[in-house]
Amino acid sequence: MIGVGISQNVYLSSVTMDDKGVLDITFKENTPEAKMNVFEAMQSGEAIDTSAFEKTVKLFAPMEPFEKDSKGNPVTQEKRAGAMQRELTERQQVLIHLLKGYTTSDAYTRIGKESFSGLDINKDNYESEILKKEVFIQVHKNRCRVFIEEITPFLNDDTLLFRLLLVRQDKDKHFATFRKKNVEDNPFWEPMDIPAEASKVKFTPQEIKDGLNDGTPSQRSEAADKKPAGDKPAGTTNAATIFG
Amino acid sequence: MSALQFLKNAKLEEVSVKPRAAGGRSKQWNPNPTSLAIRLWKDGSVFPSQALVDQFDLEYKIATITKVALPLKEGQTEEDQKFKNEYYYVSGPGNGFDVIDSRRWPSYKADGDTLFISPVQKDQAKVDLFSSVGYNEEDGTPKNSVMEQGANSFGKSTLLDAVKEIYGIELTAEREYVDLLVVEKLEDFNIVETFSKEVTFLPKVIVRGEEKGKADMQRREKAKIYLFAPASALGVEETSDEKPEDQENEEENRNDSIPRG
Repeated sequence: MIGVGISQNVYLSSVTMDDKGVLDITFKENTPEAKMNVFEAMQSGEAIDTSAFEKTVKLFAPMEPFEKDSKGNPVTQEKRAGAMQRELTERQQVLIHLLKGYTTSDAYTRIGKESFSGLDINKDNYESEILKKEVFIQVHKNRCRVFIEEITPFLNDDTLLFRLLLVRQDKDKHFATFRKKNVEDNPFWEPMDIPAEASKVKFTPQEIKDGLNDGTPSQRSEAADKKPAGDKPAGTTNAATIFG
Repeated sequence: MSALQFLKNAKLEEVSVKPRAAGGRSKQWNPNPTSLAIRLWKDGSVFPSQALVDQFDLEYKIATITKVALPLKEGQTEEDQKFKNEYYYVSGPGNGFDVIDSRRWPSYKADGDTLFISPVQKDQAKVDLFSSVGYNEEDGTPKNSVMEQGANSFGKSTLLDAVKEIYGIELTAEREYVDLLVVEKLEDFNIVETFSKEVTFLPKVIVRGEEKGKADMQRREKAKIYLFAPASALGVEETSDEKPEDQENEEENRNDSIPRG
């Protein structure tokens, strides 16, 4: 079952993006049970839940950076633009990291090169433009579009198997998501070609300290599960949206 | 699939090395110049053939060397300033080799084990053979040709054991070297096409630090993978080991102190 933790023999089965720039990336396990359709599973005589062998991880567009800091002081445009860049870069790194398992630099560098396609943005107006919602969402969508184009030839190829690490979203939310920081040094995704003893896919000491390696629902998240999904990006990923 | 079924039928025959001529000839360090081969010596040193150097661009290049000041740490003054050399090569740094032991490579599926070799730009991380050399700082020329360098770190740490365990060839005083051929095709079987992919994760072994000896991997793009095997395992005759007279005393000229390749 794919969830918070390290899953073996996983492949990418589908990638879609909605008009808000929410990218759904679905992984499947390469096991006989995972390959059963619902009808076959029901006939198997075992209690097999086919949905347990796949996991959709959502990559949301960034949210607008705060205009005031925790003390109520205004945050400068420069700092807000810097915060936005970091948010966008984290997502870009996730996409590149996934693509590096399949393709060469000429493919994955397109993600950066085509960031501003269709946008009237340059080095002089960057700081103000990047803080406009329609602009930063479009940058994220441009990157996701390239990702989809480049990853599509490899979807549903169960000969290209990977080891996948998903972390708990945070202390209160147990849903599985991608690690977003330092993924080059701390990969969350690597081919099964890499033997277990050479694997770099592991939880960092900080993640373990923060409990991000534990997918056990907290009381707060269990309560949240019972409420309808709201508009907050992080809150829209719940058991209902993942498992249907 | 057993892509390398030839290995099941291959014979590992003792190949006789011509005895030294009376009077003490010095050694022929490199393989036959026209073969695509690397000569592995019993001390682990490796010497390429001229054809291999030419085909895979193995020679060390003249570099433009720039001294770059390292950032001063807290409390350090200008007197503590340290520099590092940055090297620029007009036509690129040339290539070294990754050596791949199939026993450590999970994606390799066959009945027998073998070694592979793959050219890779010298400035990439974790290149096994012919990756670095010392430089004369005044004019940027390499201190050794790749033909003469004879670095032995990788041979000693990895290659000697691998050749012994996989091909059954142990180098001793009686048999001082073996020529390992770089092979693209075995009759109709194209090794490069079969084993090369857009992205390959190659098995490595950590060579320094606390984790020395542990398994590691290195990602390569568009790596061309060749078979790396002795003639005896391929069922072909080894080439002559005759050494021209004018290469005498080469042994004395070897410089093993240069950083390993």
